[in-house]
Amino acid sequence: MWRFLYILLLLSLLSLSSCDHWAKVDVYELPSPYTIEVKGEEYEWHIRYPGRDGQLHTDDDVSTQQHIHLPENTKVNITINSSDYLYFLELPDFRQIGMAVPEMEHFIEITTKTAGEFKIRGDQMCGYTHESLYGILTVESPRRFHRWLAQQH
Amino acid sequence: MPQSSSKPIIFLALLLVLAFGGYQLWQNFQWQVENNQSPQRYFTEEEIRPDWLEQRAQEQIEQAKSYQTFHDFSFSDQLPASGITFQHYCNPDGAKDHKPVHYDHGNGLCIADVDGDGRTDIYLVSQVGAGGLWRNLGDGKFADITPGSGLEITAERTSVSASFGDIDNDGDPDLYVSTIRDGNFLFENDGTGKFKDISVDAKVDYHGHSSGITFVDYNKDGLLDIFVTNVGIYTNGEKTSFDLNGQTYDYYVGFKDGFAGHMKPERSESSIFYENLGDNQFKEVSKQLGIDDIGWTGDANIIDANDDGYPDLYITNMQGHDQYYENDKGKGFIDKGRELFPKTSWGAMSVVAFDFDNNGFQDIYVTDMHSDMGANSALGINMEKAKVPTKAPENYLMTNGMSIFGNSFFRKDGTNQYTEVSDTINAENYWPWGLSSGDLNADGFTDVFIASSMNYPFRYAVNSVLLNENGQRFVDSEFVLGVEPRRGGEFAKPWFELDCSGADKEHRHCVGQEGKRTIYGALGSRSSALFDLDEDGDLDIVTNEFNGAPMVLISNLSDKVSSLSFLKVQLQGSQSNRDGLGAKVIVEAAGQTYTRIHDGKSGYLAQSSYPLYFGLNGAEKVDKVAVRWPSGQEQIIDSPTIINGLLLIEEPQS
Repeated sequence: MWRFLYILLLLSLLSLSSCDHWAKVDVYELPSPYTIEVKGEEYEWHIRYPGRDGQLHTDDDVSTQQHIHLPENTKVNITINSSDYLYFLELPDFRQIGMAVPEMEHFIEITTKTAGEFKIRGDQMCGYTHESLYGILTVESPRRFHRWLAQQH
Repeated sequence: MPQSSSKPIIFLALLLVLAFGGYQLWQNFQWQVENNQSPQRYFTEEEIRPDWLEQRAQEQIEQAKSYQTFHDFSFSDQLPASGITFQHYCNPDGAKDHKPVHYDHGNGLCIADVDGDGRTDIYLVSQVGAGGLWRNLGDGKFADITPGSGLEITAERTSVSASFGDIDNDGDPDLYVSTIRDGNFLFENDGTGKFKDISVDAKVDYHGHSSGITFVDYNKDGLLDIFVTNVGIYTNGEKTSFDLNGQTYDYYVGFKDGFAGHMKPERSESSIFYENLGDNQFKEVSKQLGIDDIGWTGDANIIDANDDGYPDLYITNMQGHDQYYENDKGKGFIDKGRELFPKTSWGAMSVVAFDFDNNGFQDIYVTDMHSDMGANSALGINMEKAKVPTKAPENYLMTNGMSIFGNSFFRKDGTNQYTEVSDTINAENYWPWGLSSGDLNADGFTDVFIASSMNYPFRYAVNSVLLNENGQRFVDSEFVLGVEPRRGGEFAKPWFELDCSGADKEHRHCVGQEGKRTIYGALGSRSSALFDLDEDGDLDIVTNEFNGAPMVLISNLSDKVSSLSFLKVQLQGSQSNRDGLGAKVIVEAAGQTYTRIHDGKSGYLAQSSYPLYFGLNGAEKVDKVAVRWPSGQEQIIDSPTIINGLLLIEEPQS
């Protein structure tokens, strides 16, 4: 019995140590405000982050869907737009709502504080209700954020 | 082999690792639960079935026991008996290729005696195919006289609304039909219900996104001018075709972001004021008169806020501030929108003016559809009577926080003085389009029918009947009066068919599906007209539906009330326009005074040149009828001998 538990513990620790949790992470200073882009397209949120150059729409951008990652204690400017329909982007925990409109850019600004997971709500204006417009916003330590960002490349 | 002394440490460490892992799993599970609550879907008959309808009916019927207004009568949908077989059809942007765009606003109807036989006929507009002209045969029966009427050519364009007005003062109603991009129609009536297209010669064939039509004689020259509202550019100019009932039709494809049009100045489209020059010639004079309406306008109405006898214009905006233009004694219009109405309904559709409390002032009732849409269909059943807690940001609303998110009711307290009282008098409802006013129970107070509801892909919602309780408040009465539930308990219909194994396999409704699939849509009305269709002395209701057959709601009030008393007033102008549009009529009976303005309107996209109907609350005689004609003439008829019938009033020549 104890032998089994001992092996299980070793395996668990091995599993933790093998993940890149302890790996070297390049934590660099983000511009303030940190600007990301959230675009509505075919009833989904497409998120774009600037790479090391701090600029959006350059070669080192990182793109994800539905799930926004942000570092804690950071002022963030979220640029919202759409490539097709009208969408509401709602971050209820930050009391912010933005409209995603094709050919237009709108902005909402939030300041992240403590780490945690927060809801993203989305609606298509005057159309279907799409569960694919629901998502999650993860606020995490700068180290974790940069590690996550690096993993997307 | 671990020593026994290290066992608690191993155990504790393992516990911590498992607890950490468990916490992560629990967090993930919680998020999944919160974010995977399936939103309500409305694509099958069962999904649309309004299981709340019965309970609401019972609650309203129970509530009605305390109503202080007569409601012991009912309506029944007599469409099959009427002989009307008209069917409204929508294009694919409202069905299989659904887009949130203004096509789903649907279409109107209008009524007039087109052939001079003394009976009121109906013209129903279809988005696809020709509008239908239905001749009133009497006794609630109708015959289709569209073939050979000259109106068949409306099938070549996408129509929106229609209005009758006697543009040449020859005693018969001519017809204006608004369309999308391919040119509006103006038809001249030869007096027998045969129409000739004079759009191009008359110079009123505007090509755009037109909507409601208002006939008005703004300068009192005796000729009806035309105010054509334009919504804005909500189609992309690309034409595509589709088949329906063996015919091929085409239409302009709607923008996917049609409801952002007001944010994009390049998509605005000014409404147009045409001055009638006589001899069926018109001239656009919008700018010249000072009208610069670039709002997303679906309709308008004539109001006389400053009581000077000149018709002013209240212009609705379905995406922003409504506008109000004061008529400067026939010389032009002055924008007084924010001055008189600082806050207006954000998503306005209908505007109707009537005297709610019989104090002689015309109050203004505006329905608001688009605010309700902003809350999406998730707005709860029990929230329908509340203003919408809109979540749209100001950069979308663009009204500086000065909007009402729901219906508004501007009670007129004096010349140019209004107070918004919609919530005080219960004027709110849900998903409203066209509002028609009339004294449904003939008690002397004006009631309203509000054509309401969306269709595919939304849930079912009821049409509203609000009875006026002695000028104090409206009381909900659609279930009490049998307007809801609909005939046969219908609430949905097959909306379109898909071949999920063939041509439609990429369609969103075909994910995980094979074979043929029928998608259902909820039933919903768009516009209505109130008139005594079967000439039995009470007001009936005819609707135009979206992608469905109309309702012909026949009232049994005259059967239920032996002491029913009413007066119908038919105006015939001489110096004024022949229809008498813009006239003010005051009827006195049994110590009560009833005031109506003959505006010819019947809410969103609908028009009516019917005789004015005055319910007289059981009065045995009429004491006096006074008319203030658009020309300015005052005419008084003391003790007219007619009651419970039609009083024809001809304007004196001088």
